[in-house]
Amino acid sequence: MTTFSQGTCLLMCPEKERWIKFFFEKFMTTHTYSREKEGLLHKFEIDENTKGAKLPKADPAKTIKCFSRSAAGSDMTDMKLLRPASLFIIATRTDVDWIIIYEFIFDRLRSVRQDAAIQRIDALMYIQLLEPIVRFLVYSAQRFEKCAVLTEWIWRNDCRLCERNISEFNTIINGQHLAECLTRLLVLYDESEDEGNSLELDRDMERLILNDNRAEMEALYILLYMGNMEALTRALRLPHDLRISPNVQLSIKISFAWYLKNYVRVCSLIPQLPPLLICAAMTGIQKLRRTALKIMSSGYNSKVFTFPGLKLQQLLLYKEIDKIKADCELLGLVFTNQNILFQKANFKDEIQLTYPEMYYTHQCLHSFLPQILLESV
Amino acid sequence: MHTMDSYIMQETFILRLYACLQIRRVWLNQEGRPLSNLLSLRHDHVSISQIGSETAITKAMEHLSAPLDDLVLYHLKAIVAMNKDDPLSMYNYQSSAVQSLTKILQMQKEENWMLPVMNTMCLELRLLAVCVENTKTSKNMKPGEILEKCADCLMGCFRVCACDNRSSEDDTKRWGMLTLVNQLINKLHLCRPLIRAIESSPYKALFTLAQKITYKFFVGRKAMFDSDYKAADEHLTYVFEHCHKRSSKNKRLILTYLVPVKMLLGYMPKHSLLEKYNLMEFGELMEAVKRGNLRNLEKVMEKHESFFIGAGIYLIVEKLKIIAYRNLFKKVYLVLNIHQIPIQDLLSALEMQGIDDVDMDEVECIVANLIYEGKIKGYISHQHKKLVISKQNPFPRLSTIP
Repeated sequence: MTTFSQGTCLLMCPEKERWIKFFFEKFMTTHTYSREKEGLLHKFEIDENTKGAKLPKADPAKTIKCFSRSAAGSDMTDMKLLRPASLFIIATRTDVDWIIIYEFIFDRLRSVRQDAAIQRIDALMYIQLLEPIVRFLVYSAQRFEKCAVLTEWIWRNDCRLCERNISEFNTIINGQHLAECLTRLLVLYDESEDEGNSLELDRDMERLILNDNRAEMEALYILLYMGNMEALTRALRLPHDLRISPNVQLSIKISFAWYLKNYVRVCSLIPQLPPLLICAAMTGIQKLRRTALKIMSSGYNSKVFTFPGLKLQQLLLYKEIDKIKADCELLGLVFTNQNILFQKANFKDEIQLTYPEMYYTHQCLHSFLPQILLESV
Repeated sequence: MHTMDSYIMQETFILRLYACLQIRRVWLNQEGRPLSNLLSLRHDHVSISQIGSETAITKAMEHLSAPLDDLVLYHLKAIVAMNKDDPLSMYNYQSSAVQSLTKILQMQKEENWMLPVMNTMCLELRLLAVCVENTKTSKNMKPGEILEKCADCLMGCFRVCACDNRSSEDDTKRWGMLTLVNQLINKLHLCRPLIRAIESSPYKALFTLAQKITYKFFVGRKAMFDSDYKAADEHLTYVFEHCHKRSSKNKRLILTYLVPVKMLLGYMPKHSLLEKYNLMEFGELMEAVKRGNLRNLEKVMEKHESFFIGAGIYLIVEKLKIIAYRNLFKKVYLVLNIHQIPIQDLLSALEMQGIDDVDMDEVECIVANLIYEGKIKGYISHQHKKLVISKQNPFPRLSTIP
């Protein structure tokens, strides 16, 4: 394993120093060279001057190792091309379809993770590597094109997915990777917490930075697993300084509210979160709305009295009233004159999720990108 | 001085020889319990200082043949590690010992006299694993790593026992399953497949009482975490009633889970019981729930937070809020004595307690949940801002709700 020189200058963040060393060592690998020869370069990696050529040249500053499964005979340990920062700059481009950007970044991040696992990089560095990846995956979960989210909806509600193009199932794979990265990250936090207190100043500084991001990551975990007993138990046992951080506190409050199925409180607290945490909280909104509508079908069960649609829109964070209409029809409830007639007997229990709806507009989401992805890299 | 030394040498030699011969004798006579004592790390023989010396180990081997020799060898090495105060190596040797035991068990067809040995050694392996896990001698160790290894090792034994389905009822090693399951569930959390293995066993009802109690305790606790309160109540009540009457420490532990479960099902514990087992944290809790005092309930939860979190029941206690809301709304109904209760009055009742972060929408949501769970019979009219309740039995007794 490579050992890293400990920075002695306090002004130059030691963490950055290590990153630079880690990322820029030998970035033009044989791997990139062979992809160049085979014409397998992604358009984001091409040298602008050779763009029209039959076999465009790679721009060394842009190439990023792509993911390939480990196989016997292929040397996996030699590759050290990990550069999430440069990846995320690509993400901010507006001239390309998000799905293309997403697939490119997703693939490269996967490769980054694979390398990190093979090279057994030290825990602190691994943490710093996973944090931006988690942010990206949470963000992407909200950013998906409608079709992708819709397919997930079809998949969940009715399992005829065989004939669908696998690339449409981004949401699911995204979710799986997110869960993997996040749990790995939490284990790493726990481990680094167990390590004895180092007296070195650098180490302490790093720990300070670490805790700063950790609060965000712990909050993400709590929100992604809203109301889940395991996640709540973990939250209750977090070290005191983390537990009192505003984001963690608010997230715990939301999760506890959902634990008691208090949908009104959950939805009134979510907008108080910062954007990335809202993205995390909103991943569960389809399930939340479905459960809330089921409870309301019992609570407001009536053949005569209706419930105002506008009120429901406000309570369950609907952006468009049309979505309420669609959801009501989906769940077997009557929607007339902008009002809902809740009837317990008509509720279609077999439907597991309501229709998807984006919380932010595309423009709005795009404007969050620099803040979410680049700030802490 | 010289004679004294040689006297001690001679004495330890005799003791050693005696121990080896003893092991050989009980092995040949197939006496499970005495053998389990001789291979236990908690038995008197481990305190003989010379028993684990190099020569002692070589000597011991001369008197024993395969497959017993490996087992004894690892046992002696574990004792050496114990005398050196090195829990990690002690664990490793004990683990090897259990593995050779597993091999022996596998070879022994149609006989189960070694089960007491298995019970003792597996228990000690688990205790050692927990001890190593807590002391954390090595920095490179991942949390839970040793526990996982221990679980693997015990699963090896478990498989041998569970697969022994050809032997007759008297000779089958399946009798060893429950003790192993109990070891595995205690700390190691490997529930579902193990519980299935026991539930489908034909000897389910015939295990010893002590085994059954331990097992039901874990199953009951698991049911509680899975929010299956009826099953949790059933198992834990059995455990409480059958557990040894003098083991008040265990009884207290059982009550820590049983009391909140009972409360959720609508049975409030007697003060005298809580006093007897020093569980007064629940007394205050119960008062608040009974009175429907949400503010006090929150205060009690805050006050005893570390107790509830430590016992792993904080989330169960949180659920009591629902019962408290139900009790409070029932009071409002009894005071007003009408069947169309203004939501505003329910909100006022909460505000009177000092709850200030709740609004009309949220009260409606809480009521909708209570109706959904069958705790209130009726419906809400949003336009009229009223809760319309059933003329008959609008607040059914909690214990009668399916």
